[in-house]
Amino acid sequence: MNGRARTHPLTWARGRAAAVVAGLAVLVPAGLARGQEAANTPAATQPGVGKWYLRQRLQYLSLGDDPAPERRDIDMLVATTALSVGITRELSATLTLPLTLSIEDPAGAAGTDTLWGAGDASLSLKWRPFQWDLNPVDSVRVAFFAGVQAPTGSGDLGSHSWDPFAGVVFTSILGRHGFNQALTYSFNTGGDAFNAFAGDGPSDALRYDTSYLFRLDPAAYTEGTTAATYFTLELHGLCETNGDNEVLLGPGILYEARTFALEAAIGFPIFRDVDRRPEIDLMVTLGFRILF
Amino acid sequence: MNSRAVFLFMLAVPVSAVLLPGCASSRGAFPTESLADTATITGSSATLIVHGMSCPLCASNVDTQLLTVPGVVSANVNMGSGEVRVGFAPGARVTRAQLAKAVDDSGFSLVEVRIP
Repeated sequence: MNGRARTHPLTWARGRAAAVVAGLAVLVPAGLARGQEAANTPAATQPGVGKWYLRQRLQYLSLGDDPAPERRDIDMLVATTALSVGITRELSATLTLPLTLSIEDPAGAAGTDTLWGAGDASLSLKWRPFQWDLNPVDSVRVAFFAGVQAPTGSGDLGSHSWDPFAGVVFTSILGRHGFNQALTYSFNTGGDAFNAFAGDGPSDALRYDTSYLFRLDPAAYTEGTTAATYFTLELHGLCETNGDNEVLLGPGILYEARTFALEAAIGFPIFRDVDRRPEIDLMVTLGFRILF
Repeated sequence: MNSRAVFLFMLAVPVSAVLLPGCASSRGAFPTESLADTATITGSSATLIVHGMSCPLCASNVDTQLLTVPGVVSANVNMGSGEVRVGFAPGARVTRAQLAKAVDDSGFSLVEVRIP
């Protein structure tokens, strides 16, 4: 019998929600990004020196196939605020804070359980040592990032452990086509038994995020270009050392003006081998970004 | 532990692939001599050729950085050609070094400074 099976069902469910929240925090590590970046995939871009970048994202997740005995359906809203600042040409820092509303509906039981509060904040640095600007538009870049997720979450919405993470992201922008590939490894240092899975227990997690962007409009930049619209296609994978593996795929839209951007994306599971936490059935992301 | 080793290996491979050819320049044709050119630009404007301005939000880093240079009163980005037209206040003492540093701080690559 493992630790989870000895846990009170309600506490277990709350722990599961907390674990999912923590997993989502892993999903959006240092990659909260700047321009030409899809909703949920990091890019090797960052604000200029002394410039601040605020990103607000609202994410809805529908979770099901609960391995717990009560087999709950969980609906979550995660509002993530990220503030980045350019320190040098190659270095930026990002502070991320999620707020979560989780509504859990146990199968065969009346009523729902609601959790609301702050999740674990994370602080990260992104260093972009490689940048090849090929012409006025095209660019190829590589950045490394590292940070730590601090146990600042309230109650069961926190992991109660300091979890460092590190990764690398490759970005290429060639004409109307953009491509980003990010790898993020999260070292999970533990926490209590309630957070024993979803990338936040004793298992480490490797995220692999891929995005493709196609500039729908304008077809070519001109002197009068002040905005652009992109189609995005993202693939997100979360591999855990406990054997759980989940992959999401979905399209999105990104509108960028000179000082702000609006984005929307959706994600569906295309592969799931998850035994220790609920599976993501649907992920919808809305967001905006402001450079100041 | 074996799984962790596998994951670390998976992470190490792409990182190594990036680091091994790491001697490549990160700033392309950046005219580093401009950073040392402290002579005041005569005239009321200059045109900078900047590479890597891939998107509107990215490009706004350039004009906002240039507008922090004392004496610069306007900065207009042409994303298609990579030209950034910079206007100076009357009597301003703006140098190539200041303009070059502003572009550098914006995170893009300055290729040329043209003085009409």
